[in-house]
Amino acid sequence: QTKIDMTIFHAEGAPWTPTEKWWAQEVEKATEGRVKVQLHFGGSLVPLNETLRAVRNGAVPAGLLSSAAAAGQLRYLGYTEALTGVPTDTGKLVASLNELRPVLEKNMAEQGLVYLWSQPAGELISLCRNKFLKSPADWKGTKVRTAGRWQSEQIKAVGASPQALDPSEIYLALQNGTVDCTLSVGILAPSLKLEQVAPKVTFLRQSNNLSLFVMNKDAWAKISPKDQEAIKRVSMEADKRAAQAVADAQAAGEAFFKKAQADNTYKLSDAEAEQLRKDFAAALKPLDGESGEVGKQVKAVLDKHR
Amino acid sequence: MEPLSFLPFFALLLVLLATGTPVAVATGLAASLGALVFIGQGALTQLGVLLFAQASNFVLLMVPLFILMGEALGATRIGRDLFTAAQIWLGRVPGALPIGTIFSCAGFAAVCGSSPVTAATIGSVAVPEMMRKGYAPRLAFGVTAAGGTLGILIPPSVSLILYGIITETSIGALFMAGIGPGLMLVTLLSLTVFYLIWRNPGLAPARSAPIDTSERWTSLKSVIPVSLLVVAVLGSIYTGIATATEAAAVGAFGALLIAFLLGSLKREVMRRILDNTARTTAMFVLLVATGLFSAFVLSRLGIPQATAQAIVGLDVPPWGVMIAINVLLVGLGMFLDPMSILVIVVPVLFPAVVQLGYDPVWFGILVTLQIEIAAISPPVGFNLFVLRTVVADARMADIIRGGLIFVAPLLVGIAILMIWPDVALFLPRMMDLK
Amino acid sequence: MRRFHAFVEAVNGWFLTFSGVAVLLVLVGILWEIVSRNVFGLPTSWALDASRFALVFIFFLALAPALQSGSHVAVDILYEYLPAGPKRAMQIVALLLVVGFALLLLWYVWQETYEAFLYDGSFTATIPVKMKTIYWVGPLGVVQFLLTAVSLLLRSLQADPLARRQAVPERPARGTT
Ligand code: NA
Ligand code: NA
Repeated sequence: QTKIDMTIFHAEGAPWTPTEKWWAQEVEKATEGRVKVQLHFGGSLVPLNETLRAVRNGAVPAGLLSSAAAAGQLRYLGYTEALTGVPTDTGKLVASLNELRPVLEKNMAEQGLVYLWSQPAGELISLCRNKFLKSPADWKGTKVRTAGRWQSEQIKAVGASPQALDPSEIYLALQNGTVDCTLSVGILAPSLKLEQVAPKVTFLRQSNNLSLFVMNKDAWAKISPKDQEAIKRVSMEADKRAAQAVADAQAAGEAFFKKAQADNTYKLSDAEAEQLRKDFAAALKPLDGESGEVGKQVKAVLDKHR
Repeated sequence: MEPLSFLPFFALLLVLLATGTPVAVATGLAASLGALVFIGQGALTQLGVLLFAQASNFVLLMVPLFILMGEALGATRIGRDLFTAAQIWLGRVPGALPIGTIFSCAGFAAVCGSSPVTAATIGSVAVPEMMRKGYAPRLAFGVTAAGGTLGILIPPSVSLILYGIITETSIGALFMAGIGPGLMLVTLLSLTVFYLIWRNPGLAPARSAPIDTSERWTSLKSVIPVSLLVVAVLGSIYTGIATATEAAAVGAFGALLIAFLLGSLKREVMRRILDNTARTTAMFVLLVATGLFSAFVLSRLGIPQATAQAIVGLDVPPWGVMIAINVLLVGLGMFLDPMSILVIVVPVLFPAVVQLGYDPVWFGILVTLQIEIAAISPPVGFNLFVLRTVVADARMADIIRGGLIFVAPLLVGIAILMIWPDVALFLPRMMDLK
Repeated sequence: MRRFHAFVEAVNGWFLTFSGVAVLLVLVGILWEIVSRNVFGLPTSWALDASRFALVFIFFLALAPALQSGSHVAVDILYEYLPAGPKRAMQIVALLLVVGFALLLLWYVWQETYEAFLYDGSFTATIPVKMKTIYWVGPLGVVQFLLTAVSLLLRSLQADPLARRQAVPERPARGTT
C-alpha cells in the first residue's frame, strides 16, 4: 500500500473540502486500497507559498497549489491566478480544464510534478467599509487589499490603490480604515466575518485564482501504471464535481449575504461586469510577454472558452 | 503512529540540549535524524525551504522592530526613572521597593517584548537598590525575575508572536488577550510580596520616611515617554494609520527618537542597538525555522494527530486533560527554556487542545504563563541566569530560592485563567478580534 | 591559525554591520509606507515586500555573528556544574554538533538557492522580484556560520579560553523570551 500525504492550504471547514475528500475516497476505492491519500488541511504540513517547492523536491508527496502562490515560478499560472482568468460558467470551466490538461501535464512534468486536477475558487466579491464597487468611478482612489502581483496590476488598472496586507491583518485594517475594501472569494467570505467591519458587499462576477492538485514525480512513479490510470480517471471526474460544488456553494454564499444584509449587497449588471472584465484583462498585457510559449497556449484555451 | 512515539524524539533532544549546544541546532539535528530514519531524504529538503520561507515571512518583520524598540529604550535611563518613580509613589506601602519593581517591570513590558530584557533592565537598578535598603536578597531576586516575565505577557511579546506563527492564531488577538492576565499577574505578584513580608517581617526593612509631594509629581516625568510610546503604537493601529506590523515600526522609531532626545543615542550606542537587534533576530528566525521543521517532521509522522486522538479518546473530562497538560508543562519547564517549549511541545499538544474545544488564543496565554514559570523555575531558568550576570556578587542559591517562591503566584494565575477564561478573552472579544 | 580566527571575526564584524543597516532600512521603508499612504494617499506597492526581502539579509548575515557572540539560546545548566575536564569535552561535543548542523544547513540552503537559479522563479509578491537576487545571501551566510563554528571548535580543542568567552553573550540578556 502506498500512502500519499497531501498538503492543502485551506481549512478543513472550507467549501472545497467535500470534493477533496470524495477524490481521496474514490482513489482508494479505484485502486482497491493500494493507494491511500491522507489529506492535511490548513497548511499544517506545508504553508501555502512553499507548497510548490515542497512537492517538487519531495518533502511532501502531493499538494494543492494556489495559482497566485505558484505563478512566480510557473509563470503561465498568472492567467489562472488573475481576476477573470478562468471562465465563471460551470460548463465552460470544465471544458477549458479538459483542454488545459495536456498543456499542464507536459509543462509540470518538466518541474518534476504530476498534474492531477483543479479546484476553482469561485467568483470574486468586494467587501468595503462604505461603498459598492459598481463603476470605474467607485474604484478610483480606493485603497483595496490585494494579494499577488497580477491582482495588484489589475487593481491599479481600474484606478484603485492596491495594498498588500497579511491575511491576519485584514480584519483590523478594515475595522480601522487602514484600507477601504478587500477582495474575497464569495464562497469563503461568510466564514471570514469580514462583513462585520466591511458591510458593503459587491458581487463582481469575475473568477479568480484556480488551485491545482499536483504530485511529486518520484512518488507518482511508485504507483503501478494501472493505478495511475485509475487515479487520472477519478481526477477528471473531480474536475467536474469541483466546478459544480463551487457553483452550488456560490449560490448559497450569495443567499447568505442577501439575507444577512439585504440593503448592503449589490450584484453587477451584465454590462458592468463585462466592462470590469475588460479593464482587468487589459492589465495582463505584460504577462503575455513574460509567460512564454506555454503562457500563449494557456491564454488561447481560456480565451476560447470565455 | 503510536501517540507516545514522540518520546524518543524528546529524549534525543534532551540529550543534545544537555551538551549546551544551541536550542535551534539541537532541534534541527533531532528533527533531521527523525526525517532521515522514518520518512526519507526528501523530507530533509524542507529544512532549506523553511529557512528561506521564515526569513522572508511577513509576520516576522515585527520581531526586529519590537526588539529594536526594547533595545533603544534599554539604552536610556527610562528603566531607572520608572523604578525611581514607583519607589517615590509607593514610599509608605510595606514592601515599597519590591512592589515598585513589579510596577516598573509592567511599565517596561508595555514597550519591550522580551522577558529577560525586562528583568535585566529593571533588575540592574532595582536589585542592588533593594539589597542596599535591607531587603532579603531572595525577595529582591525573586520579584525581579518574576516581574521580568511580564515582558512576554503584556504586549508586545515575541513569544506570543512565535505562538501565533506556529499555531496560526491571530497575533492581534493574542496581544489583546495578554493585557488582562498581565494586570492580574501584577496584582498576584504584589499580593505575594505583601504576604511574604507579613509572614516574615525580616524580609523587608522598617518603613521609610514619607516623601515630599513635589518630588512625587516631578518623578512622573519619567512615565511620560513610555506612555507616549504606548499611545503612539496602539493609537496608530486604532486610528487606522498603521497596520499591526507597521505599528512596530512606529514604536521602534519613537523609541529611537526618545533615546536621541534624552541624549543616550551616541554613535557606539546606536551601533550596539543595531548589532543586538540583528543578532537576536537571527537567533529568533533560526529557532522558528528549525521549530517549524521539527513540527513538519512530527506532523508527517502523524504524531500530533495520534497524540490528539489518544488524548481526546481518554475517558477523562477536558479539564482533567488540561490539568495533566499543565503538570507536564511545569515539569518540562524546569529543564527546557521558553523557546523550546514553544517550538517543540506546543505543536504536539495544540491539535488535542483545540479538538477538546478550547480556544487557541486562550491556550496561547496559558502557555505563556507556563513558559514564564519555566523562565524562573530551577534548574534551567533564563531570568535567573540573567540576574546573576547583571547583579554583581549575586549568589545563585539566593536567586534560585527567590525564583521558586514566585512560581506560586504564577500557578495561581494559571488556575484563575482555567476557571475564568474571560480574564484573557474579554478584551479580544470586546474588540471584535474573535 | 591565528589568521583564520582573525579572518572569521573580521567577516562577522562586516556581516553584522550590513545586517544592522538592513534593520534600519526596514524601519525607514515601513515608515515611508505609513507616510506615503496617510499623507499622500499613495500606498507604496513595494515597501512591505522589500522589507520582507531585507529580513532575509538580516537573518543570514547575522547568523554567524550571533553564533560567535553566543546569542543563539542554549541550555547550559549541566555544563555550568561540570568540573573543568568534562566541561571542555562537553564544549567540544556541543561545537561538533554545531559544525554538523552547519554542514546540513549548507547543503539544503545550497539546494534551495541552486533551484532558485535553475527554475528562475519569482517571489509571490506584488513586485516582481527574482528569487535568485535574494537567495544568494543564504549560502554566503551559512558558509560563514560553518567557518565560525569551525573556528570556535579549533579554539576549544586548543583550550583557548577565548572559545568559551566567545560562546558566552556579551550582554546579559540571552534569548528573547
Ligand atoms: Na511586552
Ligand atoms: Na525552568
